[in-house]
Amino acid sequence: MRSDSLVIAGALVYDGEGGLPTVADVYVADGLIERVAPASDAHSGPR
Amino acid sequence: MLSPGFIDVHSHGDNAPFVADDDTAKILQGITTEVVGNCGISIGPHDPSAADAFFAQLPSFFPGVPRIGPRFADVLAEADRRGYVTNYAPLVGHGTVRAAAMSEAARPAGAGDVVRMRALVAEALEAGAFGLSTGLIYPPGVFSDTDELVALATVLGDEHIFTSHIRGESDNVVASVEEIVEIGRRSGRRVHVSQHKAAGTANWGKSEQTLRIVAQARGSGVAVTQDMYPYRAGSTNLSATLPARYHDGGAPALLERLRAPGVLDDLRRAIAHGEPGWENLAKNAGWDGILIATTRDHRFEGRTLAELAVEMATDPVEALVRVLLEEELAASMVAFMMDEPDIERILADPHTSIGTDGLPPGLGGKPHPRTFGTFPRVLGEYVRASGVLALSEAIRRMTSLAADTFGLAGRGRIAAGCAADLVLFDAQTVADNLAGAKKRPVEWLVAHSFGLLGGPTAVGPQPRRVPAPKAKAPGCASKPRSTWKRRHTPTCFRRSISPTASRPPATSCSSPTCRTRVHGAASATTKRDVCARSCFTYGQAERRAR
Repeated sequence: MRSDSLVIAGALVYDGEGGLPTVADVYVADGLIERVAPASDAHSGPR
Repeated sequence: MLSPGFIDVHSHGDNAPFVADDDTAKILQGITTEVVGNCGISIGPHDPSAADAFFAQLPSFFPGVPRIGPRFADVLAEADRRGYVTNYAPLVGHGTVRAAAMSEAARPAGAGDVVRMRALVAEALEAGAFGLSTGLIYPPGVFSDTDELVALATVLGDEHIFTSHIRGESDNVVASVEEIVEIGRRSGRRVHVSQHKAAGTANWGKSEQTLRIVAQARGSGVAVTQDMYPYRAGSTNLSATLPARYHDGGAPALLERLRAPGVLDDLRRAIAHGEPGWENLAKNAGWDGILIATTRDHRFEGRTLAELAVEMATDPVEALVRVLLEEELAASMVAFMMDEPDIERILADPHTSIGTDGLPPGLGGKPHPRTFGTFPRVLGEYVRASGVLALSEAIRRMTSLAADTFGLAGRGRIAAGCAADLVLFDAQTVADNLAGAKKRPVEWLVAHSFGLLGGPTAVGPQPRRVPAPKAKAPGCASKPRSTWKRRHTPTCFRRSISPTASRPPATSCSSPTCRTRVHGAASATTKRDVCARSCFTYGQAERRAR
């Protein structure tokens, strides 16, 4: 697990540029988007 | 689906940092950043020698603002001290600047007046303004000419913007759009038509022509953009129904004129026949199309002038004057003036961003629903129901286009280095009118990773004033300045913070087809169904549509 403050995992992400959405994990730290990565199945949690 | 937080490019929430109760109208619709100071109206600067009159009149439009210094920088410093509900990007208002430099006189600006105004605009830009707004149907902006506006526009840098509630949105709408193009061409600066529309039944359909003018201007090298709100009704001060000459000298002089003998006959004549250069809102909307929205003591609200005339056993002109006098001008209206095809045509233009044009918080009453529903309405009515815009394009208009137009570096995109302004909503249910549905338009909202909806979080800094634009082209690729500091703001959201020391378990959507989970401080209070089960099917449908 990364040390990010907030991870939004497996979201359908519209990046604001007008393109097609992608399913991604968005990592947030200290008020900024740290990175946007392809969705990983590694996150735990109920389905 | 997850989107960048929405950017309201046309807000009048300048006083949001000052009002006692935090304004939730914007965050409930997914807005994380507001561009304030529109229509030529900002809280500062003011003429220090006329401070008493300025602060006596200010609460009728901007309630809650304390007596503060005369410079634009003084307003921002006090707002910074009090803190923000959403991120805050201010414009300085031409009308406010003009009143500070030459009072509210109904005359063209002289050379000395222009020098004073240029200095005030330059000072505001230095303090952090993103540009200059104008409101050319309102006093005192209505008394300006094109040369004055060009002279002020040239104070702006390439990174700033000149915005305009244009001189006429009805009979004069074509000439008024041409004036803004001329200002852009002569000044060499970026110009922006606020709340682009065609008002009055005689002018319905003219958006075809105005959009063509703007497109041709862009083709010839003039940088022109526009915004809009998606409603058939507009809203403004009730006193805007009066001819421009009534406003000469400001509010005290206007009240005196309304008490003078013969005023009713004069107004009946003016409204029936019009006057050159005056936007005749009463004629455009009709008396049954002017709804009283807010008044100082909340009388008259929710009724049209036609209805009030019946109640008062008089005609609508006298009803109008009586409301203005009894409320000492502190009254606003909702005016039904636009046509749906114009709305759809302007919305479909790729250079149109979205603004609420919502009146300032703290006025109460029955304000125009655009204040609360503009962004969900675009998504619900014009994406899902009528298909005027694809979802991805609508989001672009609400986010990156808005950020690029107004120089909001580091916002409006979901990309590394951008501010974590994020909104999570269900595209299949989002709507502007959810009365009775026990549901809010958006599910979850963070500004700079500070939780505004979906539960408190102390993950990141709180909303703040957006740093003034730099000459470099804005964009999310630029890393926000390292000098940004966390501000402690006295908002109700701050009061509700309960910082979490350890990471709570992830929260997941319960849908078998949806995998969104939120790990982090926000997750403890984030709804389990934040990413609705429909989000994947909507994206697939949109992909197929392409």
